[in-house]
Amino acid sequence: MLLKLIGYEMKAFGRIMLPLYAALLGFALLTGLSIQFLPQDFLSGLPGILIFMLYGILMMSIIIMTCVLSVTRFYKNLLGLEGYLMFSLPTDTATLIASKVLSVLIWSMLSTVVSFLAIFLSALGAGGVSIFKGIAEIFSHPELLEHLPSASAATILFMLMIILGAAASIVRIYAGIAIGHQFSDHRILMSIVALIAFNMIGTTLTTICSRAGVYFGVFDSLGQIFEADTTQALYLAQGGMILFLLVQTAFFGVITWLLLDRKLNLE
Amino acid sequence: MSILECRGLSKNYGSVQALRNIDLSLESGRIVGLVGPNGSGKTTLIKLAQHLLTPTSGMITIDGMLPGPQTKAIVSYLPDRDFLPQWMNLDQLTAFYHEFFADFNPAKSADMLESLGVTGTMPLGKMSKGTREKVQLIFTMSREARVYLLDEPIAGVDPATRDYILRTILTNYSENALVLISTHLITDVEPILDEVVFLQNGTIALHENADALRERTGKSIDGYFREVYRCF
Amino acid sequence: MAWKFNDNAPIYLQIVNTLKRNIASGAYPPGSRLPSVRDLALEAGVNPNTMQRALSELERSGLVNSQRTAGRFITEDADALLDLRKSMSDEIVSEFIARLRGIGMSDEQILETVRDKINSEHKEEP
Repeated sequence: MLLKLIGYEMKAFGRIMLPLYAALLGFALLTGLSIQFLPQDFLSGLPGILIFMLYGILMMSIIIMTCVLSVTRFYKNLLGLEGYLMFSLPTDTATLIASKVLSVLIWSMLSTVVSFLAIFLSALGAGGVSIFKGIAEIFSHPELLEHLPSASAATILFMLMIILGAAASIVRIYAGIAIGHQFSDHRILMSIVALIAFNMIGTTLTTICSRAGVYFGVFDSLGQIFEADTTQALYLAQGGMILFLLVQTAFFGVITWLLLDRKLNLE
Repeated sequence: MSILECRGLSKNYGSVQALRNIDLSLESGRIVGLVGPNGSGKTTLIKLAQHLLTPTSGMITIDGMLPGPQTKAIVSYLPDRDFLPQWMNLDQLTAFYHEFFADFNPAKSADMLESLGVTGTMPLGKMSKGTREKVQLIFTMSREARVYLLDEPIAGVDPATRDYILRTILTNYSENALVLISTHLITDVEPILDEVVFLQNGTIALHENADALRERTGKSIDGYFREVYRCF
Repeated sequence: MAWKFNDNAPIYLQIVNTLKRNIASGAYPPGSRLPSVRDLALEAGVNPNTMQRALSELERSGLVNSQRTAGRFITEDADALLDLRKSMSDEIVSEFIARLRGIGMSDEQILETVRDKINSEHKEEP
């Protein structure tokens, strides 16, 4: 059921995102080509500037649309009128929420990959085949490769941190929306109020924790570990961060689940 | 055994009591009218059966199970809202129902959509309100469900559409299913009912066989309620 | 679409009367097969269970025979059909006489009016 739901989100996002992706990649290539072939002075360079501007606008739209859809697919599809259909599917509330979070993660990654691909394409257009020569150059000098990030444990942990960080912020937004939806009017306003409240509580907790850390000398002992073994300290920091993000995701996930499962308030 | 059962079921919205201590038992193979004036608790009862609301106290079960994924697999629900995704066209919607509901019969919906004269590539958002309502009913009735929960299917429609809707329900419900139709327009549904459950101020004022009620009172169900309860 | 029902009688009884009228008039000829319960229910715009009840009533009175697999058939028994027509005309005539008496006609006058009416209709269409 989770996979079916994600498949459905792929279609719902895709019908807006895929045309944007195609347009972005097209304009990325055009931008590169215009840099290479069109005149660069102010007056006759207008077409080139125009193409470049559209490229920039498309890049922005993809970032904005990914964020907007992440929120509206949850808000409209689960808490709007379509909620009557979604909550009638033979599945539970947790699966519905999970499908939304995972879909947003997938589309965020896709948007990131496509954006990098666009940059690569424009470079390719601007530099022509010479860019491939550059890449070939790197591989012909093995000593240069050592400077590229390797797939070490630390890198994997770092990726995990980014993904979990994204998941935590998505679920936090969903929890805010779920709280805002408990009110009969001003639901959007109340969602924003809830999110601000989360932030304030988060800041307060962080302040208290760091004060406590200083007070109990945690930072001193951490500093000692860091001086003794940098690698170990890095793992420790990453592990701590991942644990913190997991707890945060679970906390906001449970709030969202409780409100949608027990206190659903469809129009 | 009854397919839908309520025991001591209550639902409060804040200090407002929408349903008070309802005991109700409905059998398979019946068409039951859930009638009562606006605000008597009809929609609340249906939403509780579909786990869109949770009871304040008491319980409701469908085929012996609390509302959840298993009951949703055998319940086909028609809300009194425009609940289908407006961006989808009919082909996409058919694929969606086929994917998510094991009891969906695509041949049935294809037949009915064809006689309605709508094409598969037409998005729901481009259809008139009346057509959309018919499409919603078609998809609801194309499931071979064990329980149909139809919330106000004939509110605010013209007589021709009302006939279409009642005929679609009669033609398509599975023989051994329970059909629960909520409505505040008794006259229109009276001929198709086996039983009538009358809600008033969140309690069941009456639950009786429809023909027995007419025989006992010598009046139409609608006429009887108008007289006895001075509502509608 | 639907048959018309009045408010005072149970719907199944009104269906029984409609079906009897159709049998007596020959709209459902003797020996013919009746549509299925579901189709009849759709035609009348009523619940299939109500239609089932009406048909059982007709079976009890012997106007309809049920054959387990083939469906329901209108009786071919001429006596039963005659009885049906008699009892239906009895009802119509009783009401008719009561109404004529109600506007002050004597029994003699009633008989005369009926005889004259029938005779004149025969003259018009020889």
